[in-house]
Amino acid sequence: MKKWFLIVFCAALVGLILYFVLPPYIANRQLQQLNTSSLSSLKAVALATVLYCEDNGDRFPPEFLSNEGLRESLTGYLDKDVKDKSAVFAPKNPDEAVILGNKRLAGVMKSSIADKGEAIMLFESKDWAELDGRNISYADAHVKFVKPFDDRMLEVGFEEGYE
Amino acid sequence: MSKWLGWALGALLAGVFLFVMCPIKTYTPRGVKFSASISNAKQLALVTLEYLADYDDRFPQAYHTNEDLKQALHPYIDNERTFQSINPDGSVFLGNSVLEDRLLSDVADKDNSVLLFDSKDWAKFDGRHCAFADGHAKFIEGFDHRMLEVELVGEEE
Repeated sequence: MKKWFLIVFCAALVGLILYFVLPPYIANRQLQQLNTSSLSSLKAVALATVLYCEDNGDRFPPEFLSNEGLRESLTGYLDKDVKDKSAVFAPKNPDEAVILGNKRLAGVMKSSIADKGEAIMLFESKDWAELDGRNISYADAHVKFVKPFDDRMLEVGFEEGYE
Repeated sequence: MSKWLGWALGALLAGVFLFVMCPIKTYTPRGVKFSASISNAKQLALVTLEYLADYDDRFPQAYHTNEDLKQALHPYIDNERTFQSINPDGSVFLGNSVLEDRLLSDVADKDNSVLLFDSKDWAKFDGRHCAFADGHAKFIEGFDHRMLEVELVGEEE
């Protein structure tokens, strides 16, 4: 009798621990998956921007700040494999963020950027509240998740003599 | 009997303590730094309006980085700390670059047009302080960069 009580007690204890420990872990995993999918969308838009620059005298789109401007300029340059072309501009952030361009680069020549690996080209309009950061892409088209995001990171260094 | 009396007195004291402390906690839920920061934002907004009054209603040509703000508004503010947000994660105030070199009268909806904002989210509260073109300041939870878009009217648009 005492043995059975101990077994039931231990099972209840383990159940209770799992009940409190697992849900946040599972939620976080799901969020990470959404974030990875958003990162890949951002990469597609970043590559489209690079193609746009190649076709337009090395210049970024002039309407680079708003999401609508990005859609208009870049939809034609998205990879053929991208099935839902309008969805890539809106990440799967539960707080409904969209992709925006860095205003500092609007209409600017890509070759004028001093360090393309450091200059932010595209970013999500809002932080992922649960993850305390957001996805960004750089002028060399690499993407990453930054935590925390600071608006000062949007400053761009240009080559000397560029106006 | 006296043991029960002790317990009852203890419970009563705890109850009184909770009753007194709870409202105090509600009045300052975000701390002194938080309030000081919003006061800085408000002050910068008012000073910007003062600048506009002196410069025919026109925003500074450079109104984006913290240095731009310092350069333009320095004559109107003695304390350089006002330009800092007191965010524990370390942020500063930035200007809305959409307004650079524009007329205040071009701004269609001054109550909802962001003038200045924290460069970084307050991680603890998931938002930033913003000051608006009519001079008021508030904390925006879930700050979105789309809020920096300003509806402009007038011939310069």
